[in-house]
Amino acid sequence: MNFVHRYFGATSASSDALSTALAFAPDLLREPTYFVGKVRRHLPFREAISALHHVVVSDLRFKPKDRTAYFAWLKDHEEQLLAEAVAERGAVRERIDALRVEFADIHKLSSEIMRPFYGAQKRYFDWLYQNNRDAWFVLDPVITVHPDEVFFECFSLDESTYGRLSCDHDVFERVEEMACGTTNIDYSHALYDEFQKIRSYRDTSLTIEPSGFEVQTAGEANFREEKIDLPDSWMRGFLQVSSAMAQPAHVVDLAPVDMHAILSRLAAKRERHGPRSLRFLLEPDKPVEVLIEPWNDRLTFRRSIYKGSEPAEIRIWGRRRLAILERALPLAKSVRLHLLGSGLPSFAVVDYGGLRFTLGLSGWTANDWSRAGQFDLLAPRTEVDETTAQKVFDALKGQHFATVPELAFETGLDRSIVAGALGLYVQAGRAMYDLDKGVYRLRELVRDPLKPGALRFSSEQEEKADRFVAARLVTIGSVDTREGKRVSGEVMDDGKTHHPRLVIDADDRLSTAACDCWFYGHNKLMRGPCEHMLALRRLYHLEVEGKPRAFRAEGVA
Amino acid sequence: MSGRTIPTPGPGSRSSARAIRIADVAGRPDAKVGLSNVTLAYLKRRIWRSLRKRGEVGDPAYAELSCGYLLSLRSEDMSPPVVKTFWKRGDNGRWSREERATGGGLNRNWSASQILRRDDPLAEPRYASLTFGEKPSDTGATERPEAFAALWDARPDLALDLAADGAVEPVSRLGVRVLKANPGFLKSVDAAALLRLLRSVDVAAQGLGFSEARDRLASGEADPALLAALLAADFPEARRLAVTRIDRDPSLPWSDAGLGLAALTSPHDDLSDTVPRWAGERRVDAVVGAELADRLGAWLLAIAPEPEEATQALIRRVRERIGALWRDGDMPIGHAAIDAFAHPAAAVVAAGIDILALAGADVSSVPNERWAALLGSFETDVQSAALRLFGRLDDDTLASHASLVVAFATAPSSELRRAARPLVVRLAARDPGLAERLSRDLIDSLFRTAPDEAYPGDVVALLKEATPAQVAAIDPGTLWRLLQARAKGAQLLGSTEIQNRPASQLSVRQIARLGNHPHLAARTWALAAFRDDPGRFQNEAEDAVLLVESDWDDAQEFARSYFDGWPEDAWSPAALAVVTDSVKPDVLAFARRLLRSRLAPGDAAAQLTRLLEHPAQSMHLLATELMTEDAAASEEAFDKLLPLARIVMLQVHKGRIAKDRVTAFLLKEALRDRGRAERVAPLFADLSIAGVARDRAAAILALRDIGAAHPGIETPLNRRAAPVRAA
Repeated sequence: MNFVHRYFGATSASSDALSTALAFAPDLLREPTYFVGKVRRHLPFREAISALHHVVVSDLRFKPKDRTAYFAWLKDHEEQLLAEAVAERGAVRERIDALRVEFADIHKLSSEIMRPFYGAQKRYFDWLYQNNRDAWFVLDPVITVHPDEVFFECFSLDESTYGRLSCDHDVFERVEEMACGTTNIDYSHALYDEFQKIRSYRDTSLTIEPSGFEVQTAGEANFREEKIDLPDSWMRGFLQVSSAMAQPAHVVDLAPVDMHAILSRLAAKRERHGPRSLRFLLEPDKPVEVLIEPWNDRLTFRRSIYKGSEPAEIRIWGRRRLAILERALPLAKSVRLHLLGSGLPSFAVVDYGGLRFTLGLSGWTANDWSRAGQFDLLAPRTEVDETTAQKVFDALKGQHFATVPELAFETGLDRSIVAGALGLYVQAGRAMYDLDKGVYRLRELVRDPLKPGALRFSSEQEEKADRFVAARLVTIGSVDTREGKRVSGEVMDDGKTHHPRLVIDADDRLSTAACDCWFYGHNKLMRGPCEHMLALRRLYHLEVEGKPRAFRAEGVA
Repeated sequence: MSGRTIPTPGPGSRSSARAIRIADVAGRPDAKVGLSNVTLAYLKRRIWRSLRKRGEVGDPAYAELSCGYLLSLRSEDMSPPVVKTFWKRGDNGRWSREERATGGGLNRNWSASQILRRDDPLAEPRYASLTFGEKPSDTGATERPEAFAALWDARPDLALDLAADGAVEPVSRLGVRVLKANPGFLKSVDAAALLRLLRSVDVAAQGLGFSEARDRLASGEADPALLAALLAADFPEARRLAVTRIDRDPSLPWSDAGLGLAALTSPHDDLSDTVPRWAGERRVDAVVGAELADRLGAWLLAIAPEPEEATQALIRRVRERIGALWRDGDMPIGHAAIDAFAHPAAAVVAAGIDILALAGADVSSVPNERWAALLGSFETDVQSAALRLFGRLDDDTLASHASLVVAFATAPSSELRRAARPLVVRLAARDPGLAERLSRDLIDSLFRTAPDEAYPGDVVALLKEATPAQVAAIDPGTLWRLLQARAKGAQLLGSTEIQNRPASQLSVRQIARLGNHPHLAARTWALAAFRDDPGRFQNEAEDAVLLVESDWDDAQEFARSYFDGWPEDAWSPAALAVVTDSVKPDVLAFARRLLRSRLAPGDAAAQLTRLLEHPAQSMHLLATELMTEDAAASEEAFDKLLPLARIVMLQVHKGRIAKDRVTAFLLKEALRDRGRAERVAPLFADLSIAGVARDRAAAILALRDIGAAHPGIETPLNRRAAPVRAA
């Protein structure tokens, strides 16, 4: 997906003895959105926006060890090694030894000669790493200015972590010009260094520059266009996490020190094998317990009582991403977890009072087909016709943010219809659900609205699987839990019955699978699972793995 | 049935043969073979027999026919060698392996092998297969392995042909052997023949020609033709030999038209500086110059209608060289130069225009339509040459075309911009109003993205040459805008012009910020300003220390050593704060050293409140060093301490020393003062359920002590009586 941004000037941040000025350049191709304010709560703002930066640059994907140097060495020494292996004793071995000594001398001389070059090369790459980190960003963060708050949103490079920092207007000492809307900002890594210079004894101004909208002259040097090629998977991941925020979840209130305890325990050890989940054991009116696998370390948070009405056991993976909260915790007043279910996205809202940092984690760090749970996030919840949906959207647009009852009252529509329509717009990136305040907000993620459902499926097989499940053509035959979980079932496809078989490991990953269809027969698993495997996996997740959903804590500010 | 066996590739290194019946493929358009094995073998034997018979009777035609045959061979006629391992018994009776290469080169060509190696004791003719093989190496070699060596000796001219024109090494080596055996012939050949040898594909032939040329030069000979041949040679040693000889004689190379042409038209990069040096330092007289100009003209006219890029580049070089040679405008102009205007290649036309200019032609009579055609040409070469010719107009005429000339000054091509520059300089000198407008427009253009890499440099050079007064008059505000701009051109102009300005034109803060400028010249200027007026910078220490934030090593090193030398009283708390607020590890290390050495005891409290807000772990540790009862005496300081304490204590597996110090300090303050105890207790209450046992234990003990010292303060501890055990 291609996007174009146009910026006037560049985002800048500068500090001196008396002040720190953060000026973000907005995307001029979007509706005018600007904001000028002076930060009042300096340290919480600094810690929270630093945590947001860590989301932007987060990339926990597996990076295989670089063995090119080893292979190059092997190639250079291949003949020598072979000669040693087959050499006769006596004269030939002596010759080899003499050559080896000579080669070592030459290699030493070569290293001496090349040392300045390699040193300069390393310094250059280090400089590049330090100074060109902006190349790591996929999509610049978006800023939304609303009548009640300003919030920043971003999504990580590895498509697994969502971050949101929302600031009520009273976080700012003085708010000057303001125009509501959503815009992309020209974000750069150098900003992080300037964030660290925010102090309470310095004025800190936050500006989303309005001046660019006033300059009409084209061809000015300061206008810059950036074209970005965004992977579909990245956008899909963002929308899945965003959509998950609007789903019912188990709400768990923790003290910051409780989350600190989890992070401390995770940092103290490194797991060598699975399972690798964090298991939340929730019993109504009892302290929250967390089990850390694979060591089965149990943490009981005696001062954090679970207020839900139904017990639940929820596993989340990719727990290392929680380390992003290290920076955000110390000055926080509370931490609220929203857990949708095992393998589904989860959210941690860190509240500073007026400032809130939301960390959203997708089901797993590697958001691939081997895990279930993400497929339904972009599925429409309720059928709503386009006209009705547009009516709801227009009502939201008029207020910028509202609850479902408020919009139902304004539009005269049933609440379920309103909720369904809003869900569609959330899935299309045009609205978002604010977990902190329990309202839906107008937020156009991209300038040109995405077609609803355009990114729902990552492959043709997923789409087919969705149809099978929706048409109830899938049945679970047997589940054997003796070694992992072996699930078999039947899928009716075009009049023919197929028999997929799945093996799910302790981390709920699909470790292997088989089917008697043509797709599997020709590709095995090299092109991913077939639609029958995916359908069976989804049904198993829905009917066996999934836990009853708890109520959502509505109306919480 | 007659047939032909052709080899076919097999698995691995094996090859196999496939038999084809001639009758099956005869007459077909896709037939790959036409002769049967028997016929082919017959013809092979016949060819050699024809030659051998002549050789045996001493017929000189043997050498001619053989020469013609050998010169027809190409690299495709060579075959790669096959390496085989043989067992050989040595003198000591032991068997060892010996590798022999067989079948390579022309060994499969019966006639060629006979001609080249019939008398070679290492060669083994195989009459069955009509190929040559190799005999074991200990049978000795010979210097003249070719057949009928005497007949070759009688025709050293043919040997020269073989050595110079042979397309494969065995053929040219035959020529080299014969020439070496007839040294007298080689000494008698002319320079053209030596040039042929120098251009041979065979290194041995090149070496032979080079040795002969070197010997001739060493004997005192300075044949211009020989020098020209050496300049034209393809290997640098020959060219170096010629250059050395020419350098020793001031009259060369321009005393001979042929040699002069060879120098002017040499395409080799190693002569790209040498020829212009000769052109600049040595003169050409009128007579030789006329002939040289004629030959040059003929050379230009002989260029292909659509020359390759390398040829076009060579023509540009030639134009530069003749520009240096006839810089006084006295180049003789011949018909060939006039004819160059009609040449289809733009590069040649441009050369013709240059020759007109160098000949001092009267350009005032050139009609406007002609100028329009030349200046409006689609070819940059023609335009740039025409601009240089245009520059020969007088000032008044030039001024009437001012807008055209100024447009060229900002043309998309760097070559045109450079060609137009001297004309613009003349126009600006004549018309101050034009200079003013031009400088304004050019400076504005520098703030925009440059159309090409060379644009900033060209425009800045133009501004400096054409509008020096206007550049010198740039006000400090505009100069600062130039320096701070993102556009490279603006930065370049700013950093160039700042060299001419006194430091007083910028504030201390601006000068400190210049320490981070991407241009070395700007940074150097800024650092010199720091050096030249230390008092000024010490008086505005808060702004001056911003220099430490530079990303450049030179500025950072300077800053550290410079600020190290400041006296204590120069370091106000605000100045220290700027340094300590940095996020760069090097600067923080410097800051810590400064604080430890320069911090006055009375300023500790002020510094502590600042340090407490620093996010870096290393500064937390320093802050805990400064945490004393006096420093935290004020309520303001203690209020700021609590959030830091929380940040320090809630670090995950980091900052153990800082944690212990903070815990100890807070406990001490809490025990001392009830008010502080009430504020500290919630932190210890939180930590009493921390995930790390050590922190948990310290917090519980602290709460116990606080509870004991200040009864009534709520803590989460529940005291239980210890069980009484029976004795």
